[in-house]
Amino acid sequence: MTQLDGTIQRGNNTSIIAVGALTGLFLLFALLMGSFAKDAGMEFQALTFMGLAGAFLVGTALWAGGLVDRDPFDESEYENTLVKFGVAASMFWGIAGLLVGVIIALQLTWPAVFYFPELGWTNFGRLRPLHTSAVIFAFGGNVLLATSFYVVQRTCRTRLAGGMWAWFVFWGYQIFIVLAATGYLMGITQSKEYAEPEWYVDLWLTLVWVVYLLVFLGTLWKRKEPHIYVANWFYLSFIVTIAMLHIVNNLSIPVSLTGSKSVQVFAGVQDAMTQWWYGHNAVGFFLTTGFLAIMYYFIPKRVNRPVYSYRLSIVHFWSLIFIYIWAGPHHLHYTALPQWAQTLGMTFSIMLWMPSWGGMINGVMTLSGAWDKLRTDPVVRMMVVSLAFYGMATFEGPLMSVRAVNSLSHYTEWGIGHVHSGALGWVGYISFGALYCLVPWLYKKKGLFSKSLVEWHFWISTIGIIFYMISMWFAGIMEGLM
Amino acid sequence: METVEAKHISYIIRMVGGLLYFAGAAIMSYNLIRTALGHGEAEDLEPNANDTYANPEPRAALAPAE
Repeated sequence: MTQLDGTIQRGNNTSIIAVGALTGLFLLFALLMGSFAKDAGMEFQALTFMGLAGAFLVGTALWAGGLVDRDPFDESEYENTLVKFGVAASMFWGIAGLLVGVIIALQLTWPAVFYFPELGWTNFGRLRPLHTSAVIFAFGGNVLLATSFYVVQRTCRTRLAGGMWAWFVFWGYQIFIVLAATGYLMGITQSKEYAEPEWYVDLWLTLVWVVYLLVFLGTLWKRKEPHIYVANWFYLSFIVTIAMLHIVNNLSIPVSLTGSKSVQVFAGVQDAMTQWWYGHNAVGFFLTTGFLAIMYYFIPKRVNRPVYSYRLSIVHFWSLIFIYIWAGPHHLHYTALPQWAQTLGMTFSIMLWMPSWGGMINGVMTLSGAWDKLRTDPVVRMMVVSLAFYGMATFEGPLMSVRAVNSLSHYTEWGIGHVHSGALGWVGYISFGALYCLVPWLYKKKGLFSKSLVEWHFWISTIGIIFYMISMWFAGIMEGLM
Repeated sequence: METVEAKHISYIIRMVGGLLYFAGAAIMSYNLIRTALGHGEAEDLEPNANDTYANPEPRAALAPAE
């Protein structure tokens, strides 16, 4: 195993064949499902899959044949190319998702102007899940993929495990995004918020996600650093819990193996409870623990200071993941869900306030001794402001989960405003901060192209978030009182 | 209907907010692409031979404290 520095260490080459065989098998499935498709949607989805997975297969074959000038599995180097792809994908999907968001905001503002009955796919009902999935799963998901692959290699001081499998995770995830997005536009949906993709897309994502978990665990397993840094615990909780949530909430029976429609296993209030157990923990484990992992690596790195309190990071990690999983029922106040279950969800939501603020305090206090960077480095400022928004959103959330407050705030614009202060402020800013750090690091540059453009970005989008939050508070409270 | 009319101004402000946020992200994309291309202040970094953290740890297995 051990070789002298400078010589190329061949890694796991058999993974190319395994990935190729698996992709080939799924291409065959797609061919069969497309040929015997019961509906036009399924036929189109199968063709889309065959196009994308086929392109991936050809790319894999070219690479295996050494036609791309690069040794893909050199153990003496980190896997940077994959992270670069992840950064590019994050930027692309981020722009796409935000643009769709602006379009549906226009549709809500002037419904008569932006309504095209002859173009069914431009309907608000189809574009709205496209926006939410694009920003959460396509933008957020790619940021998490890219940063987790970057961070786990650095903190474990070893190259990503699994050779080609990590590439399978990346491309498989992009295929999932395209299938989900084109499905929404064609009206293929199982009508579960944030879990709209139908059964076959869910199965594909399950496969991709399990491989993601194995690549991550494999990298931890072969680490050269005795200690597992706290950011990896956050990433791991995100990967494991999302797998569990995704599988349980998407338990369904397809009407036909070659049709796009399926029937949910749960019904009535059980289905509602499962959905919001999933929905709230998508916020907790996708948009919180994953991005806290980013925070725990990129803020200390960028300001060149140790984490303020490593003990606090461990304590708030375990309390956060223990408490979050119970908070879902607060989405179902005043419904058929039993009162005690609603109260339980509300209680845990209030308890959640403390571990959430533990993360915020730990992140902000990491700047101790480097506060001047807030003034000189707009990237640091962006990440610290993201923590301020995190603190605000995790204070507002428990407040809104209280039944009395909820009677005013639920089903109003306040909820939309709350989500966006967390999404734009916390998730968006910590992601932008990480991307601003990653690009110069990956491309080995002294700094960014222009620091003043970062200043512009920071101030324009901060004003944007404030406009968004205040207008939605105003509309929501007014709506609640009307 | 009254509610929808009452929310119209808020919706306009929200739309402007979203547009500003989108513009910010567009500026970031431009900045990052120019950075990757090595333009402006993004000059190439000299590879530092003494940086032991630039590459994976060559040791094969965990060794006890030496």
